[in-house]
Amino acid sequence: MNIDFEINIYHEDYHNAGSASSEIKKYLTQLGLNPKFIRKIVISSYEAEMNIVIHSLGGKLKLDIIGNHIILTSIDKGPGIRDIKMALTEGFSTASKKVREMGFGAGMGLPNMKKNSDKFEIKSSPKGTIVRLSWVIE
Amino acid sequence: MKHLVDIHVDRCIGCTRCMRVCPTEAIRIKNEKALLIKERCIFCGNCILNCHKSAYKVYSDSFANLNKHKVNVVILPSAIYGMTKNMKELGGIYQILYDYGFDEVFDLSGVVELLSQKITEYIKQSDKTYILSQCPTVIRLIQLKYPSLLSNLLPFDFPYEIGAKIARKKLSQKYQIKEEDIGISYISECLSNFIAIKEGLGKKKSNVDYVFLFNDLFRNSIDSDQINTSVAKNGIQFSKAGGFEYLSNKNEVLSVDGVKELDEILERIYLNRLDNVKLVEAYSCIGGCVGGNFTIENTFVAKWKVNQFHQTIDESIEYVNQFRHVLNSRDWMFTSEVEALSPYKLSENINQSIVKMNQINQILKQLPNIDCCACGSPSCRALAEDVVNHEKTLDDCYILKRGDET
Repeated sequence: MNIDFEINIYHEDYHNAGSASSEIKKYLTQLGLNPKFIRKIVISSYEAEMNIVIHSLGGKLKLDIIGNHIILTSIDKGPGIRDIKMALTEGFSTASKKVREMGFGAGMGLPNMKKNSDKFEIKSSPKGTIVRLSWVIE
Repeated sequence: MKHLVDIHVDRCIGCTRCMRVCPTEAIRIKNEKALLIKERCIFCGNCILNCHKSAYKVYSDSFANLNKHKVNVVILPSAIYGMTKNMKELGGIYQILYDYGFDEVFDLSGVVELLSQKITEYIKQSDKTYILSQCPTVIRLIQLKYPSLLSNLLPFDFPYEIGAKIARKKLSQKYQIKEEDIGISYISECLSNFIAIKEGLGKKKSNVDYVFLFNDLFRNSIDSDQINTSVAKNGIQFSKAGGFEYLSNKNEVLSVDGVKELDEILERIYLNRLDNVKLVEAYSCIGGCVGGNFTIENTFVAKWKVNQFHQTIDESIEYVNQFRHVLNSRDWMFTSEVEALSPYKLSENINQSIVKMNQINQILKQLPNIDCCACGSPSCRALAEDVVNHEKTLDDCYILKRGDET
């Protein structure tokens, strides 16, 4: 049994930021998964969503359920992460002062995604970044 | 089990107003009448407030019940302080209640002041963000939408439950009668407390025997200087949102009121995005309990009155202390577990749920996705779910039908 759905996310759309993750939360709740397990996925998807809003030129979030795996993919249109290793360091952020004043850009996005997922993969070029997170259904 | 809220079918015109303001998709319109899905209801009362046809009825208790008891005590809801700005006006309230046939009036402000001290102590034990447990709708919303936050919820019972236990003990001594000879009533300021008492949220059975509705008993306030009353100066602050924040370390307490804002704050805690907050003082009604859906005073005037009253009274440690050692500390807490609820689950089996989810997504592609609600479901997605669950059909969609005709 497979399931797939995707939501477009726009650059600097702070007004709707978080709604894709809310949608994902609703989906997973309807499937009847364990609440603590859902929370890990939703926290990760929120971070991914905010990364697209803050740092990218726009992109989308994709949720797939394949067999007993849940896969969340974040795909954006660039401009890419210059130094992935640095971006994975807790507290490292390239977010502007304005973004930080809104309470975002604390440099915990990618580290949180990595911490909350079973498998974390990232690829980045100036054309875009793809983050693929997966979980085995508990 | 029957819901304690029902629809006057002769009054309801199926207008969808209540359905559109329901925060948990707990209402549908079927055959031009509102239909409540009890499992999804968080008792917020938005439906009742937004009904312009007075089609909602709430099953409160009958005064005839009072005849069963030797002594009847009524517990005053905190919201009462939104009607009284001085002792004279509070005296008038007592007079009204004696006239209804109650022998004793139990003021909660002393209990609440002690409760706030207990909470201040309790939240020191760990670094997590605690959520105030005084509003049953807050608890329901967590049970339904944020079950992983149940461990953040304070374990303290509702003030009127603690008050009921204290009143029963004290009055059985005073009148030298058995505890069951005392009838305990509460005048509920909101739907939330009403249902929590009737269904025993956080316990097997409520300590309160009967519930009446605030706006059924009080139409207006009267003055009386015939009656001596006492209140706890700080306790009355908790009748309004921000009371806890006002009296405690402001850096640690975040106060939120209103269902939508409450939902947003819970989501922030859920996403670990609310740092340095030790306690979230949360109320479903705007303004807190003085803004309860059965109160009669304007919420903001009510908040102002609480502050007026607060200024006119002196602090009385003596008054508060008489409630201090009546119960052991366990009696101040919920006695049964507040459990996670899952009324949105599509099926008990995950594979079956996935099949349904795919069907829902397929149907949703055919729908206009403008969430007009005319079909009697709160969104196009909700209609798709209802179709898959055989509650509705695609024919219920007016927009699709219009397309067929042209």
